[in-house]
Amino acid sequence: MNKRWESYVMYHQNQELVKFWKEYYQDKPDAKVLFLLGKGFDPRMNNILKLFLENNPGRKLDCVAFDFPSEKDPEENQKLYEINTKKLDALKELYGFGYEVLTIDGILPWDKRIAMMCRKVIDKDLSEYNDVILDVSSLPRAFYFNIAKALFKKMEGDKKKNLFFAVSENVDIDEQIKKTPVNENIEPLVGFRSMSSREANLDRINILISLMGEQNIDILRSIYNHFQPSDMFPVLPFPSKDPRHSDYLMLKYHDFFTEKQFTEPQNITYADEQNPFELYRIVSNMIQAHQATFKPISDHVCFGIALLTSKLLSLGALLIGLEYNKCVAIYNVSSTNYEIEDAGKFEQINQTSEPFLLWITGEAYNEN
Amino acid sequence: MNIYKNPFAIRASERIETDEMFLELFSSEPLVHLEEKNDQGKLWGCVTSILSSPGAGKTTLLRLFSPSILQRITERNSAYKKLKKLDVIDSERIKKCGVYLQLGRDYEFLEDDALFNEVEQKRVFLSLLNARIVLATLKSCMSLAGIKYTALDQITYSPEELVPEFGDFKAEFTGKELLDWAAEQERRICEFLDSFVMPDEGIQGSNSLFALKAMKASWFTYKGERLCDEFIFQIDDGHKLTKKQKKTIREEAVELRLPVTLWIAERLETLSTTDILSDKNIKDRDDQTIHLENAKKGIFNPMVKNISTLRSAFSTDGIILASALASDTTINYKALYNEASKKYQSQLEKLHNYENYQECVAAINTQDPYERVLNMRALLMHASRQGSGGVMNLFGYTAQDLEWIAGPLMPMVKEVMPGEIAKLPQYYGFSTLIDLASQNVEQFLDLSAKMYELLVAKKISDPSHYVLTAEEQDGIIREFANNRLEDIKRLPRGNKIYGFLMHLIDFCREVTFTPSYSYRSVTGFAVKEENSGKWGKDGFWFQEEANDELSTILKDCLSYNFLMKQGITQGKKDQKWTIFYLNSWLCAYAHLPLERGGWRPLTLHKLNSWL
Repeated sequence: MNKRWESYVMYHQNQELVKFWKEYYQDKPDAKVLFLLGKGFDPRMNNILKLFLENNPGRKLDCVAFDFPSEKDPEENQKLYEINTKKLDALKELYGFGYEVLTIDGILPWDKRIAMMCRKVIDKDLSEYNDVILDVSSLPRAFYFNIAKALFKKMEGDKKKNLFFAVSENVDIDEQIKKTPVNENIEPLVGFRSMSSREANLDRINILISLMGEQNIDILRSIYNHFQPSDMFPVLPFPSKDPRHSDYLMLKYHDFFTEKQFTEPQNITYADEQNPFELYRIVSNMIQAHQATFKPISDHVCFGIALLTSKLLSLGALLIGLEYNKCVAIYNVSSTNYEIEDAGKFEQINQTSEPFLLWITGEAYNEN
Repeated sequence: MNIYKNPFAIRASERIETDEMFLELFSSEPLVHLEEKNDQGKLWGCVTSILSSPGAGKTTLLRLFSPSILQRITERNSAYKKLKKLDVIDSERIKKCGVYLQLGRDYEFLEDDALFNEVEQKRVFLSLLNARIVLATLKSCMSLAGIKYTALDQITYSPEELVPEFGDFKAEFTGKELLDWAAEQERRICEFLDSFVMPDEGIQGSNSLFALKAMKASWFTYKGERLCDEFIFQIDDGHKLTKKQKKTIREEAVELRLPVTLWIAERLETLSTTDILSDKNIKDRDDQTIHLENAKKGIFNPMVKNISTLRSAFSTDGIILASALASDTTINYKALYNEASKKYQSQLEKLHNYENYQECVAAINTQDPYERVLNMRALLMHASRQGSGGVMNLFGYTAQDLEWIAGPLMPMVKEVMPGEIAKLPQYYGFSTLIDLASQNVEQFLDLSAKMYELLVAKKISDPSHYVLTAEEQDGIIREFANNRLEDIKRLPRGNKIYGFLMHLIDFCREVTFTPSYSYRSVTGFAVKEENSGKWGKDGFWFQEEANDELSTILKDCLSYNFLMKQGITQGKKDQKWTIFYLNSWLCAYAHLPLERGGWRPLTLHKLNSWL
C-alpha cells in the first residue's frame, strides 16, 4: 500500500539547511515565504527564522506569530518571553519583514484556544505565498498539531505551494524545562480524535502505539486506561545519540508493562531518534498491516498514538495523524505549567540546538 | 506486577477487564445507599445524582447494573440478594438493566460561542446526547440478547407512540435502523468537533431529550421476547458537562417529570463553591443525591475489609493482606528513645514548676529506655498542663506519685510520641491502613497495592516469613504521601492548593506537637467567624467577594478529597461548626496522629494569608 511520504525530503544541521535554501531559492527570485512560529519563553523560538533570514537576506517574507499571553506564567518565563520578543523585534528591524500576531486568550480552555487558533489559520489567505514554513520549536504540541493540520488541509492539493515543518531540536533544553503534566481526564487531542470518540462504531478494535520517551509513567497508564486497547506496540528510539536510551526507557516503564501483562517482545519496534519520517514509515506499516489483518472482523480499527517522545519524533506522529486522520487518535498530555530550572544556562545550551526542516507538501512530491 | 499476583493493583472498575473478575471483587456495601432510596420509594422513575471525589466507587456501582454483569450474577455473589431486593433481578430474569453512557469532554466543546448561539448550542448538545443514548441502549440490548452488532436487525423496536425524531413515521424499526440513525447524527457532530468548522450539510439539532422517553425497555424485543422491563439510564462522568448542559438535562428530566430512571454520576468538583461548602446544598436540589463518601464508618470499614478479603482470595500467592501486616514493631529503638528522653527532660527543665518533678525525673532515669521515654513524655505533659501561672505543689511529687501522674496520660503519650521522634514507625497495622483510606476506596487500594507488592516479593525470598514489618509499612505510607503531594501540583490551581495545604499542615503540627498536647491531634480547622453573627440566614462567609479565592481553594480541596468536611455542634450556645479535616494521607505526611477530632478555629484573615 502507498504511503504519502514513502520518499521524503528532510534536512538537518545548519549547513545542510543553508545549502538547501541557497539551491532552492536560486531559481525563485520572487518566491514569497510565510513563516509561522509561536511566541514563548523557549530560547529556540527565533533560531530557524534567524538562520533563514541570515542566509536569504533579500527574500520576501511575512511572519505570523501565535501568542498565548497568560498572566499566570512564572516571572522567569515572562522574562524569557520578553527577551525572545526583543530578539524577534530586532530581526524585524534588521530585515523588515511583514509581521502579524495572532493572539489567543490564555484564559480559555485548551480546546477552545485550539479551535480559535485553527479558525484563524483556516481563514488566512495563502494565495500570495509560494512557501509556508511552520516552525514548531516554541509551540506546544496541542497547538502545532492543529495548526499543521489546518495548513496541510489547505495546501495538500496545491502542487505549486510548498509546506515545510521546522524544529530546532535540543534535548538539553527540553530537560531544563520542568513540565507539570495533567494526567487527570486524559482524552485524545482535539482535532485528532477520529473514531475514538464515536460510540457508533460498535465493532471498534483499539490498538495502542506508544512512542516511548521521558514522560512520566502515570501518563502512559492514564492513556492506556482511557483508550482500553486490545494490544499495545511500544516504539523505542533507536538508533539514538545515547545507544542505551531504549534500555533506560524499558527499565523506566517496566512496572507499567508488567502491570498490563505486556509480554510480547515482538511488539516492540525501534525508530531512528532523529528521523520523524522513519517513525512515520514504521507506524504506517503497522497501521496498514493491522487494517488488512482485522478487515474480516472489523472496519473500525482505531490506533491510539501516545506521545511520550521528543518534539522531533512527535513530528513523525503528526505525519501519521495527518495521513490517517480518520483512524488515528493522538494522545498528548498538556502541562499546567512550565518551570525552568536554570534560565541562565539557556542561552549557552541553545548554541547546540540543531535545526530540522521537513518538506511536507508541494513540488518535492509532484511525481508521487 | 502481574494483576493476579497483586489483585490490589487493579483499581477502578473500568480497568477490571472481565465481568467474572469484577463480580469476584465487588463488595456489595455501597448498595446500601440504593437500598435506602428504595425504602423511601425514591429510587426508580426519578433522577439521582451519585456524587463523590475521584476513586470513591461511582463507576463500580454503575457497572454492577450492566447487562453482562447481571447475566453472570448468581446466589454465590454477595450482591445477588440485594439486587433481588431492589427488584433488579429475580431468579429467572433481569428486570431492570443499566444503559451506560460515559461522557467525554466533547460535549463541553459544543458550547462554542463563536459558531452557535445559546439556542443552537442546546439543540446540538441534545442531538449528540440523544444519539449516544440510543447507541448505549442498543449496546445494552445486544448484550441482553447475546448478539453481535451484525445481528442488530434481529432486534425490533416497536414504539407505542410515534417518534418523529427518527425520521420515518414507521410503527416498527430494527435495531440496525436505529443504529444508522444515531451513527449519522453522531458522525456530523464529531466531524465538526474534529475540524472546527461547520459541515456543509449542517448539524441537525434536537429540541428535547426525547431519547430517554423513546428508549423504553418494553418497546424492544428480540425474537418476539421482551429483553427486560425497565432501563436504568446511567450517565457517568457528568462533571465533564458544562453548567448549562447539566441544567438542560435537569430541565428535561426532572422538571418535565420524565418517567425514567436516570443516574448521573459526577465528581464533587462539579458542584458550585456554595453547594460544596454549604451544608444545605444537596438536600435542597430538585433531584436526589447520593454522596458515596458520606458513608458512615459503619459502612466503609466493613466494606474495605470485605474488599481486602475478596482481593486477597483472588491472588495466586494466597497472601491475606489483613493478616500479613504487623501491628507492632519488634525493633528496640534504644538510641532513639534515649535521645528523645533527653529532649523531653531538657524541655521539662525549662518549665517553671520543674522543681516539683525532680524526684520523679531521677526515678525515671533509672528505667529502661522505652519506659523512660514514655514516662518522661508523660511528665512533660503533666507539668505543662499545670498552667503558666501554675499552682505550685509545695512539697513536689515523689517517685511514688509517678504512677498516678503518668498512668492516665499514657494513651495520649503513645499517640503523640511516634510523631515527635523522627525515624520511629508511626503508621502500621491493618486498622491504620483503613484509617488512612479516608473513606475512599481507591486510596485504600492504592496503598494496599503497594503493601501487597512488597508482600509478594518477600514471599518469594522467604515463603515462611513474609509479614510486612511496621517499619516497612510506615515506609510505604510515607513514600505514598510524598508522591501524592507532588501530584497535587499537576491539578488546575495545583500550586495554590499545595501552598495552602502546606500552611495548614504546619499549623496542625504546631498546635499538635506542644509539650502539653492539650488539643491532642489537631487535623482540622473551622472558620472562626462562622458563628460571629455577621452573616444572615441565607448568607455565608464564602459568598463574600473578599473570600472568593479561599472558597475556591477549599472547594478544590474537598473535591479532590484533600480535605473532608464535617458539621458539628459545639460551644456555649450549641454553635454549628463546619470542620475541614486533613485527609489521612496528609496527616501521614505531617506525622500527625490519625486520631480524628481535634480542630481549631481560624480567622478568615489568617486563612486568606495562606493563599
